[in-house]
Amino acid sequence: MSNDPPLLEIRNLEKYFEESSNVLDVLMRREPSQIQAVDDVSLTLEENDSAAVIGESGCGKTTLLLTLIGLHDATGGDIYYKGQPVSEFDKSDWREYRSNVQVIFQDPFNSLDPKMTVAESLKEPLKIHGIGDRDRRVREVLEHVELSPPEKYLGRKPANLSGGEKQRVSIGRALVLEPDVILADEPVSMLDVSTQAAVLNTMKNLIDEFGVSMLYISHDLSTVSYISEVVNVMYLGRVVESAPTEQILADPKHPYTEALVSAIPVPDPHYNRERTEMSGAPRDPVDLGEGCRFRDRCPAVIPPDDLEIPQAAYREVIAFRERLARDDLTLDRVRAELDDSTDTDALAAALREEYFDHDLMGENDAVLDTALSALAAGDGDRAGDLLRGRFESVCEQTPADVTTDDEWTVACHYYDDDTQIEEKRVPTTD
Amino acid sequence: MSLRGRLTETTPERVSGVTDSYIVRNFVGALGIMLRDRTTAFYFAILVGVTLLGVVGPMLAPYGIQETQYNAATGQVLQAAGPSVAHPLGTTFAGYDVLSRLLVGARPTVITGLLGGAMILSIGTAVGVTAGYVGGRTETVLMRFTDFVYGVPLIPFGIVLITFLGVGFLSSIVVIGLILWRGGARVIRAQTLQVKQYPFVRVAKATGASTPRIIVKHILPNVAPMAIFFLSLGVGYAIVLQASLTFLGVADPFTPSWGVMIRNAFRSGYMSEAWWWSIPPGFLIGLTVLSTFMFGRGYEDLVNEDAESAETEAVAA
Repeated sequence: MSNDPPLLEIRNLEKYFEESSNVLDVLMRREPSQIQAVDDVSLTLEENDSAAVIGESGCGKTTLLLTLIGLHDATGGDIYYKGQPVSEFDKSDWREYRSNVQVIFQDPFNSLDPKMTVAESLKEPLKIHGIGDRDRRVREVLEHVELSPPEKYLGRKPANLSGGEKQRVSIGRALVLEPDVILADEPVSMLDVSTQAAVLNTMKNLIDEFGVSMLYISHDLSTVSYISEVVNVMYLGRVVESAPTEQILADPKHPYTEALVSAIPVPDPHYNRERTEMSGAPRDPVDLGEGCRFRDRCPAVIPPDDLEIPQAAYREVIAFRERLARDDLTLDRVRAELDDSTDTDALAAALREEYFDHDLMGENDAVLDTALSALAAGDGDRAGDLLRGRFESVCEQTPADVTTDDEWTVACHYYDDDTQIEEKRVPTTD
Repeated sequence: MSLRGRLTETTPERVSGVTDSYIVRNFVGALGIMLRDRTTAFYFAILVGVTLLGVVGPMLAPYGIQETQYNAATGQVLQAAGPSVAHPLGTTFAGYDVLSRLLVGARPTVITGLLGGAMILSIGTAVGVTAGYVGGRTETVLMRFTDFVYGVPLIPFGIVLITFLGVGFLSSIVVIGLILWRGGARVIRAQTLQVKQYPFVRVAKATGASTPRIIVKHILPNVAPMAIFFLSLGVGYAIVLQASLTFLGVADPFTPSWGVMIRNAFRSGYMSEAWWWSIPPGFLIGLTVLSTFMFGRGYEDLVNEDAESAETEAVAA
């Protein structure tokens, strides 16, 4: 057993973007808003390994990839290639890195220069790195990606290729330098389903044949099991769960992963299964602050221990508090619909109608009423304090990564035991 | 076989090192697409004709341009005489043959168009691509400078510049080039911004391609159609502007371009009577400029060609 450093290692990588600030912001000395596209992500890619990163659109997958290929500078953390940090690369290190780490993009229609023939596109990396014997290499690689006979394709321009053929050429271009690592950003998501399978199979074979490692980025859990042995689930810039593919598909731990897994289509119209409910869309990744990022959509937010409350009602309270904190409530509209816009009691009642479908009991009800009255009277801060006092959830603190021996990592407050991942959760019935 | 057919036929063949070259091939290819449209092909033919006239015109001229013509019977100078068999387009006030002057005048007009257009194209593309691709402070500086040039009034500035550079044929072209690149720079910058965010540029960067390589291999060929468009617009503008400058008397009056002819006709005071003197050069300037503009309009066909692939993109997305 050698103690070689892993091929590619990401440690606590952060990539923040600053929202563009205008003159007024500068004059007012406002801090620019931060878009936390990638926040504290760590993962490792061993040789001949294939790992996947899964997540919804906008969760930071592509930013992660662009940071990995050096098109974005990381805000924090670092990337280690064969144990050497990328931030300390000099020019020749970069050259080597760029010839050994190749990328395949999602969109096959724009991944190839429309003005270049297939042969020229494939030769370009070889020319850049001054590698000879180009004609033979290009032919070989075309055969590898199952575009044969190569003569048929060499002189074609992308306009004369189908989507699948284009993506095969893109894969070929990534392979022609015989790299160590291929970063694939949803390489099949824009292809027909029939083509998807064929291209995935080609990729799978090539990984084995060329002995390359692959970081496969996708929103589609169903294609992942073809390619990858390990899955990292990303939500709003953070990795929430990572585990071997088969295990995570069989028994997802994090509520978000659960929702994703239950969304994989099963090709049987009579099959009826329980689906995890997940509502809404991810928030904008702007100034996210502390806390579990999934809490506003989570079907299993954890109420305080001493609070008796149905999960659905609790989620409404959480969502309401979230909007209150972000100043995102439609107070003006609700007020405009009232007969008498100065009537604070009526406003409180209208707000309750607007945002709460479920009834609350006893003390919970009383606290909510007081808070709504305070809000209607214009004291949003007091309303927030009242609600926090009663309903604050442990999910408002950032959950720690919990790792077990079998390489299963999950970041959720249900699993905060030091060593063991233990099912603490009661099944929710909504 | 049509001209278009011949043009497109040569592209996939490895005829020679020249046609195989990346930029030439794309340029010829784009031209081929544009010429598929009959209107564009028609105006292209006129442009070719005018250019040919510029090459062979002086050889065809029946008389010298400063050769005073006399009435064979009376021996009098033919002052602003109307069209006749010996002088199909009549003579000028000084007794020069209009047709000869027209033929000789084609050359400076063509040179103005090509040189002016080339200057507009090269400065505009250089500024536009650099600003668009490099971005940041470079972009700000270059584009603010472009905005500044936009604020410069054309003719007065031309007059001032020529006073400094000295009245001359070439200096008037240089002045035109130094002002008119501004429109091209803006549009080509916008195109560059669009092209540079395509994945193939990112892939090239990620593979380690240098900035000059990306600009030459990926950006330029993809903004080339727009550059052709601005070349044709530039040629037209350069000819018109030079005619205006000549008319105002700030360009060399001794290089007998068509603009100079109109000016001389105007100065002589015979412009309205001797229509054969002023209308032919005016018509030829108009025709040339119209042809360049209409040829540029063929750019739309290129855009449509691109739009077809854009459509499949939209469907797939």
